[in-house]
Amino acid sequence: MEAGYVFALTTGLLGGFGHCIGMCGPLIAGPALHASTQMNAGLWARMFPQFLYHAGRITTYAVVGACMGMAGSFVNVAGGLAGIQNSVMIIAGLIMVFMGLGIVGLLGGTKRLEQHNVFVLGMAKKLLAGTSPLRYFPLGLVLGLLPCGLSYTVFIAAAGTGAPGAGMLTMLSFGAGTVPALALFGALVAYFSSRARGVVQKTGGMAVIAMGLFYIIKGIRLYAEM
Amino acid sequence: MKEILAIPVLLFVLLSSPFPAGAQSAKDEGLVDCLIDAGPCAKTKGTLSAVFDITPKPVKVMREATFTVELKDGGRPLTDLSPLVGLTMPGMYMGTNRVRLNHDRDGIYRGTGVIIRCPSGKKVWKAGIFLHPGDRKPAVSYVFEVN
Repeated sequence: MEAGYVFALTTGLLGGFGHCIGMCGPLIAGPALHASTQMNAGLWARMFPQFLYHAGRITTYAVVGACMGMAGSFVNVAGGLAGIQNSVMIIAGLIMVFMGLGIVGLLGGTKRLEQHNVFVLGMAKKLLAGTSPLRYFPLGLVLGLLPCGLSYTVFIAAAGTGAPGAGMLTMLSFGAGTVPALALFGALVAYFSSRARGVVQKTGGMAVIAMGLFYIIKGIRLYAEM
Repeated sequence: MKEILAIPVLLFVLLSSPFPAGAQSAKDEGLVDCLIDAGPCAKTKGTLSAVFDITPKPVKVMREATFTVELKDGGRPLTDLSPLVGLTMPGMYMGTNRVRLNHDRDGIYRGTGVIIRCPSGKKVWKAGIFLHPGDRKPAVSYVFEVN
């Protein structure tokens, strides 16, 4: 394996524990808590949606990595993506708010909002109110575009390869490296959330809503800094 | 019992993450030893002297920048190295963004790189100067803030 891929894999492994759990933990915890409200299934069945989510975000990393490698420039591609990424942060916040509403049992109470043609809210509800675990793959595809300093570091390396295939493999290595930490984290949340009922589950839901609002504010602030 | 345990675990998991970024930023600012927008920063270690600079000024994130390092040993320019700048963040694991430098003249090395934006709001970076690509530890390092 080439040194560049080892660097990306190692950065993903170390960053998974040292960075991703801190920054993206709520995004992993949200689906785990949300799934616990819908499924009376075992741990693997609860983990399966999370793996689909990871597959989605790693696919996005690979596509962006290929673009970086093809362009041979991090700044040009990242500059083009900046507005989209900030929007994704706001969308992620909205999704988390909806997950939180679902966990505390208030998702039905948003019908009045949707009647006023709030498109994103309607789409988020459709995505989260379904029962198929497959919906977590497109969720991962979208949230793979979240602005993230750690992935920027590896995107620079992907751009430095100067080739789309190498750029894609660099980001695949990085994405694969982040999975163990986030999967372990997701398993812990799934385990504890399966035992969380009543007030405990509602408290978790309120925390997910709070984190969602934080992401929305952060996304708006990033727009303001552009 | 497990239900009681679940409350603190879930709350810790959900609320411990991006919120402390503000307090951490203030702590990181205390580490700054190089005012990069004011001009080059010089350091010595034993007989080695290293002058580090980033241009253009003011230094900004997500822009291509030129990294310059002037290396001397006992006052004599070091001209046969393959140094690199390793950019890391003291307050958060961000991987190492490596900027390779090429010799320009008289012990002055230059390379092009990018300082990335941390969406959490942290602005303090550490630049480690590695004299050889295989070095595990930087010869000298500089901590600076980028707005």
